[in-house]
Amino acid sequence: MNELALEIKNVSKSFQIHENRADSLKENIVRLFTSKKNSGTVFHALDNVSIEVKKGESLGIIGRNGAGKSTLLRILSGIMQPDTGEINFYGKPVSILDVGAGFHPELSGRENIFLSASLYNFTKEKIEEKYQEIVDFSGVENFIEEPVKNYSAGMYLRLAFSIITCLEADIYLIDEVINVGDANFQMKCKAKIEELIAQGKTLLIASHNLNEISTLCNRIVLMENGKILDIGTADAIQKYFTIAIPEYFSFDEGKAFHLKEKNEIHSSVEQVKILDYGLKDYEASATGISNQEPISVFVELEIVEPVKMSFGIQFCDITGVVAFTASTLKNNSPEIIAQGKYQIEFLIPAHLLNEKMYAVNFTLVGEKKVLMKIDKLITLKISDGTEKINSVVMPGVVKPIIKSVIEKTV
Amino acid sequence: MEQRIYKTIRGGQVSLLAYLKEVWVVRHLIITFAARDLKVQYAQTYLGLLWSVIQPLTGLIIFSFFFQRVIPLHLNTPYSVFAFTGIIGWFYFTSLVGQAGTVLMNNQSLIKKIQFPRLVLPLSKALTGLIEFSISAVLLFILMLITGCPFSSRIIFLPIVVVANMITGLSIGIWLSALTVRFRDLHHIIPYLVGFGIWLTPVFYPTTIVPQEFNFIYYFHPVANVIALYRWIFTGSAVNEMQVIVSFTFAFILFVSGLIFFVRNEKFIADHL
Repeated sequence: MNELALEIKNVSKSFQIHENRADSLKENIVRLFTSKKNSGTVFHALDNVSIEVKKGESLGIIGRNGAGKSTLLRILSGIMQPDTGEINFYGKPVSILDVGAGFHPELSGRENIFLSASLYNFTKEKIEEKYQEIVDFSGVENFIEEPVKNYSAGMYLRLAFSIITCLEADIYLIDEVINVGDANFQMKCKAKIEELIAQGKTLLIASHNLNEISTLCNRIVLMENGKILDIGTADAIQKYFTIAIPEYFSFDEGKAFHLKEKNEIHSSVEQVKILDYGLKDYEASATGISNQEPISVFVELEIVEPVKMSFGIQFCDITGVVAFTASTLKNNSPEIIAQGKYQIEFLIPAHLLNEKMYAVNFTLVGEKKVLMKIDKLITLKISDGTEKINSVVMPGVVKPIIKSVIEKTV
Repeated sequence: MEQRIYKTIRGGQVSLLAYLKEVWVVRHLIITFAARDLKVQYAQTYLGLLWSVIQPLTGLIIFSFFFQRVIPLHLNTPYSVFAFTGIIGWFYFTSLVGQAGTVLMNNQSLIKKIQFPRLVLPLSKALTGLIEFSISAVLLFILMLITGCPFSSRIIFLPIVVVANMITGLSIGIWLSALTVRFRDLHHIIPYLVGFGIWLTPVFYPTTIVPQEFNFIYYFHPVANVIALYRWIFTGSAVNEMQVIVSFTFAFILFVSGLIFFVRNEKFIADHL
C-alpha cells in the first residue's frame, strides 16, 4: 500500500493586505495615475508547502488560527487558486468545509437536500436514490417539508451532516467540521470518520484540536505561519508543538518554567491579594524540571478581610485537558480564613507528571462557586531528568509508575 | 508504478473554452440556483410569481397616464402595447444588470465553501429573469388581444430577440459581478445605471421624437435596439438595420470580453470575499 492519494507540491499562496479597505475603487484609480506602489503588505498564507498523502492514510493538519490550514484546504477544494505549485489527486476528492453549505433558510428540508447535494455534484437520480437514506439518518422526517429556518440548531446540523455522509469519494478533505454541534453530534461525526478510515478512504482533516486529531489520524502535519513545521506521528507532534511554538504557552526557550507577569493578574476578589507564586525544591536541567523528584508549587497571598474560601490548582496539558486538580478544601466546605499573609503549598509527588508541558491554573473557590481563576499562572516543562531531548514520550496527561509483571504461565 | 491522476490543481489561466466546458458539465446547477431563487423570492407571498408582473404593470399604468393624459404622444399603435414592449425589454435588461451584477456578493458564504464554476451564478439569473420575462410576455399578449393589435408572423423572430436581450443584460451583469467583488463601489452604481438609463432608452417614448443629432447614441445602445425589434415584431414599426447590427456587435464584444474577464478573475473571487 504505497500508492499515493494526493500530492501537494510546493504550493504557495499570498494575499494583499490593504491598510484601509481593500475594496476601494478610488485607491486603484489613484494608483493608475500616480507611481504610488501598492499600499498593502503581502501576507504569505502558504509558503512552499509540500505534502504527500498515501492511499488509505488519515492525515491531520494542526496549527493555530491563521497558520494556513483553511487556506490549504480551500486550495485543495479548488475554491482558491495557488499562486505557484501543483496538486495532484489520484482519486476523486470531496471537500467538506462546512456542514449545511448551500442551505437556504427559506427552503424546506427536502428542497435543501436536493440543493445541497446538487452543489456537491450529485446527479438528480443519485439524490433520489439516496434521499430516503439521508432523511432516515437525519431523523427529521416529520419536518422535512418545513423551511429549515424553523428547525432547531440540532435538527439543522443533523440534516446537513446526513447529506455529507452520503457523499462518495476516495479522498475526503475535512475542515473543523467535527467541532460543531453538541457532544452527541460530534460523536456521530467522529464515528462516521472512523468508518471512512476503516473503509480505507484517504482523509485530510484540519483542526486546531490536537487531541481530537491524534485519535483520528496516524500522521500529523504541524503548520505555522504558512509553513510546515513538522510532519510526524501524533505524539512526536504533540511534543514538538509544545517546544516549537513557545508563544502558545508564553515560554522562553531554555527555561524550565515561566511565571505569569504579576501585572497580568487582575484580582476580581477584593479580599484577596496575590503576592507571589512559583516553584520550590525542584530539580531542573536544560530539558526541563525532572519528574523523578517531587515538585512544590507555592502561592503567597494576603487576606485583607476574613473570607470563606478554598484554594486550588489545576495541572493542564497544552491541549487544555486537566491532568488533576488539587485543593485546600477539607470536608467539602471551605473554612473561614482570618486576615493576614499566607503561603499555600502544593506538593506534586515524583513520578506523576509526564514529560510534556503543563500549565498550572490557580483557583479561588467560595461556597460551591469558583470566585476567580487565573489561567497559566505557571507554565512548566517536565523532563525525565536526563539530558536527552528526543526520547520517546508515552501518550497520556500523567505518567504514574504502574507496576507491571510478566509471568510465564505455561 | 505510474498512477492515474484524477485531477490536477495548479495556478495559471484556464482557457475560455475549457471553462465553458466545465460550466456545461454542471449546467444543472444553473437550473438549481434559478429554482432556488424563484422559490426563495416568492416563498410565503400570497401572489407568488405574480409579483414579477406587478412592477412592469405599475410602470405601464404610470406611463399610460402620463403620456396619454398629461403629455399625449401620438402613435399609430395603442400606447399600452407600445409602452409594454419597451417595458418588458427594459425590465429584463435591468433585472440582469442588477441581479447578475450582485450575485457573487450575495452568495459569498457559498462561494467560500463549495467549488463550482462561478459563472453559473450570473447565468442562473438570466434564467430567473427569463421566467419573469415570459410571464410579462403573456401579459403583453393579453394586452394585444384587448386592444385589438394584430399578431404577425414576425413573432417567430421573438426567441432571437429575447436571446439578444439576455446577452445585452449579461454583458453588463457579468462585467459588474466580477468587478464588484473587487471594487465594492460599483455596487452603488447599479441603481444609477438603471435609474438614469431608462431616460436614455426609448422605453416609454418613440425614437421618432428624439432630435436627429442624438440618434448616433442608438448605434451604441443595444437595449434600445432590442426594444426596437420587439416593437417591430409586435407593432410592425420600422427598424434601423444599421443601428441593430452595430449595437449588437458592440454588445457581443462586451459580452465576450466580460466572459474572458470573469474567467480570468474567477480564481481571485474567493480571495476578495
